Amino acid sequence: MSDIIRLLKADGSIDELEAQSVSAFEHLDGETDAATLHATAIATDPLVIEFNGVADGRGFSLANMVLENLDYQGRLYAAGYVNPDQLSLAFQTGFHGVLVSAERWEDYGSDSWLTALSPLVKLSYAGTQSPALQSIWQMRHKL
Amino acid sequence: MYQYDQLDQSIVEQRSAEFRAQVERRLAGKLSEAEFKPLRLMNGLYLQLHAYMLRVAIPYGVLSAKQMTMLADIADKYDRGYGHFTTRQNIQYNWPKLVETPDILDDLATVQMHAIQTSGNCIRNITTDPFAGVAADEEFDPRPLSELLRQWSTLHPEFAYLPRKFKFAITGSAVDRAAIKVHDIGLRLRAGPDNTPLTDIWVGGGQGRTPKVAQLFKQGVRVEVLLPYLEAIMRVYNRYGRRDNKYKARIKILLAETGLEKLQEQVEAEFQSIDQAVFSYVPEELKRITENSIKPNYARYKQAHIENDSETTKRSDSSAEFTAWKHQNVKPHKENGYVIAMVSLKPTGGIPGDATSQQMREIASIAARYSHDELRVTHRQNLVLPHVLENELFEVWQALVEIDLAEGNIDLPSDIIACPGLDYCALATARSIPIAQAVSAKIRATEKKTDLGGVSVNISGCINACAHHHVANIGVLGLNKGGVENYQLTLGGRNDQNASIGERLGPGVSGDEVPEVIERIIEFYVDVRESGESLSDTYDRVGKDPFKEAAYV
Repeated sequence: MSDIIRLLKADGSIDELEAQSVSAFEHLDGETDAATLHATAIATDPLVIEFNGVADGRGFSLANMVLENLDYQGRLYAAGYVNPDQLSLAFQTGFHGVLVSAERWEDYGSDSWLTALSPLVKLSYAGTQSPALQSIWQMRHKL
Repeated sequence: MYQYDQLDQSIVEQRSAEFRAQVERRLAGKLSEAEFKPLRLMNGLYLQLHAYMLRVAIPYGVLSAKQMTMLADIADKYDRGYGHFTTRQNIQYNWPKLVETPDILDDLATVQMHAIQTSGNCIRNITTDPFAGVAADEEFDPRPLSELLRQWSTLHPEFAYLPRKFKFAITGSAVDRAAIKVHDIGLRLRAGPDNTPLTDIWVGGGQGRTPKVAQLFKQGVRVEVLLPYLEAIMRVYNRYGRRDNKYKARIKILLAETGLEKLQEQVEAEFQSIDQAVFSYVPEELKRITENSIKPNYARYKQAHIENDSETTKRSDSSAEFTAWKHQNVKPHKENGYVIAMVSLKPTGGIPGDATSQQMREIASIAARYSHDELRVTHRQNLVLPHVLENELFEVWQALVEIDLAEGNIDLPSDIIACPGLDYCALATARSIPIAQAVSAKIRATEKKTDLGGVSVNISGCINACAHHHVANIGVLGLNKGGVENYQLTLGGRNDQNASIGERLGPGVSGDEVPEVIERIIEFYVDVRESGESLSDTYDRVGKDPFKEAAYV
């Protein structure tokens, strides 16, 4: 675990973090039960939700449970199998950032990551938890 | 019909631009096929046996004449001059070139259409009663709720990577024409106290390898809290649905393995945790959707078009073909003086659900002239002209005759649902289209001589059951046994409010034998039925054995 991990943030910025410091963060994943989720979310900042596979969307539901049901106020990061085409989904869901390993940064190429991070704001009608983004229904009804 | 505002339009344009960039990355070799696959699937683009296939969404099966004309133009410009209407009320093109698919999406966006979520492990096109808003027996028009669900599910960030695909259907009538009980979630809108709309939620229906009829999950949910309740179901499914085996990943399996009561408890707990204030805009959004929908002005049209009444009546009375077509294809409308005219895409010996670009263009003209600019697509792969003035019905029929779309066989055995089968599909194990063509050619003459009532025949080319053979009165499943196509028959299935899964009749038969076996089953039904009995009613009464004896001579 000596590689650099990039933290891609919803505002388009990138922080480079030492893997050592990231490994000290509290990590949860799709297998986490509700009780553990609740106990961990109360006591932890930042909180990392690992995605166990590219097609495994459980992390998005976990994020909503943390942010919406538990009213988590700390920093929430996604990690693991998140690809550039999923960055916007992560930000819409309310993740403050996505941790990308050096290996995955290389696999997809910096162009793909930087393009995905560019200010193309993806819209949805519902399900947006991010304070920085608004869903269409929020815009329509001025919520 | 719902009309997009600028925000709706921005969604489809955004998605089109995003897909164009993804296709460019694929063509430039920056994305492997493995990486590209989930992205193209979310835009309805499959890689089939011979070519790509693009599935275009027709939300809850409603189309304007202008949209239908665009579908015809796309068929000519990018495909081979025809399209295939599907059981999810969508349309598929079988021969698009990858490089041109972003252009197709751009063209679709100009008429408020798209291909979003017509594939992939996400919430698919919402389907409903093809007679929604016009059926004489309807309690509530399900279209505003269908549009609300379309918007809610479109690009919802939490539900883009579900364990498996997820299908919703909605009906607002006691007679279920939307097959809600064979969907992952089926919604029945009904009248509560003071005529307020309530929703009964059915969960866990589906077909494929493990056919299941949905179970009643929650009764009487108020429309204002329906979305948080559905989110609770989806969240529990997303968290606990199986991801280790794609054949066990649908919610029907989660329901079977968890048990109804426990799953209800999990959903209820999640529902109680959700901040329902977040959904406070639902009544306002439903009102906005209703206000942004074009409603036919029946009275004004009637006043302007009821002329030459006696002449039309005289001509129509003298036509036996018209009378037969009207008997079979025309249904009662809620508005006095109007009817619902169904257009069969099942010509004798034809390919079920196919329409040529010329037919699409002409039917669009007919809809513009005679049906308040509107069309519907049914889950039986037919079209509907939902608002036809009864006095103009004869003219409509004449126009349909001109384009070979006047087959009077709605709900008859030749009104066959068939999947693309081995002719197109990479998953198929047997042909289904040629079998459907042979069955319809064989059975049509009998249909014309005998009043058969409603008999459904559905033919799937593999166990995935895309043609819904499990819930057909007569189901046909094409398999491959030792390199030879073999067809299993099931009887007694139905997809209405009394939905049931068909029972396997006996040993499989060859493709050549299928038409004769079906003909014998129908002849036996006609012989033994009691007054008013459908084939399923008769099957329930007499049981399998007499039908089996008649089928396997």
